[in-house]
Amino acid sequence: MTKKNKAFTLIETVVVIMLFIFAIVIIAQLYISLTKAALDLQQRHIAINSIHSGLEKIYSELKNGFSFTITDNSILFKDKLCETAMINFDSNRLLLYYNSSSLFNKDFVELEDVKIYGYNPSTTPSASYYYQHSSSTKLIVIDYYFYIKSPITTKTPLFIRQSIAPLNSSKAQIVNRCKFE
Amino acid sequence: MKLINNKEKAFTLAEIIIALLIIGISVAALTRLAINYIVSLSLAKEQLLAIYVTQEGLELATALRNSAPTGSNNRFQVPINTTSNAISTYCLDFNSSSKEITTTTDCAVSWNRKFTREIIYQTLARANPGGDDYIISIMSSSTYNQEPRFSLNQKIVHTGYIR
Repeated sequence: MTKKNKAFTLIETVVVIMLFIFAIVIIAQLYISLTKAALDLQQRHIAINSIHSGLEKIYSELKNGFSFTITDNSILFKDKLCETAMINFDSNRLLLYYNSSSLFNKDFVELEDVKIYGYNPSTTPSASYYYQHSSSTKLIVIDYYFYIKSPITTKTPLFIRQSIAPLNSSKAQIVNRCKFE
Repeated sequence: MKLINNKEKAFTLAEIIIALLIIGISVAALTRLAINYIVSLSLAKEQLLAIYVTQEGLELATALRNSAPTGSNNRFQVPINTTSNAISTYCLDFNSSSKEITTTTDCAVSWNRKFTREIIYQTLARANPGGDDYIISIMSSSTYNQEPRFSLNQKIVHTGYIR
């Protein structure tokens, strides 16, 4: 009987096990890092979508609004249905409201501050085509100081400036908007 | 009794190392794919900013046109070449201290200098034959100046009196 069994030597086995463990550790670390990054990104995506939808709501309302009264942290105006509307920042609760409804998801977004500017250049009333509403606000600029929350990393700041030129500042866009009032 | 010629051949060290190398390369390729995916997702913040940087350009140009002083010979308030299809490019910004719209030579956006923005006015046609109203296309073009670079454009058409 000739039986030739060739197996691993002890050194071969030890080297292979070491390489295997090394590879497993690296792969596991990568997997954990990628999972954390994906979770973090998912949170950020929700935060960014919340910011985007809130800002779109503000844009839509102010674009079609008129008769603006602007302070540093609030805008009182008439909406497209001629109803009185208000956007205001509560600096104690750090929330921005549109008619008492909070605009951003506070679980994902923190709004540290809001600053509002109105651009009202002094023009003489005239019958000319574009600036019949000479006293109307031509531009509203809102600075948002956001923080995006994350359960894994520290919260990250995000500054956004939003500018809106209301349609009402051009005569061509509005004639007797509230005639049924 | 049957004679058995049992020749069992195990893997050599070289074979195992080559196999591990192949597995390692595959894992590295998959990891790279995952990282690329994550990087593309992480651009969401910059893309959101790009929307507001670009949109602001159009709003500034619109506000300028709507606030031209009475008797102004140019409703757009920036010099515009009225030759058909001529292009005039400017940088507009809002100065929050003076609360004024400014025409600047520095196209970097004041509130986020990672972006540059140009406002491109193109004369399309006269709105009224023989008159002084022109149809002007206004394009706001913003560029993110860090890697990965990308641009975003938005366009609006305004009619305005230019004499």
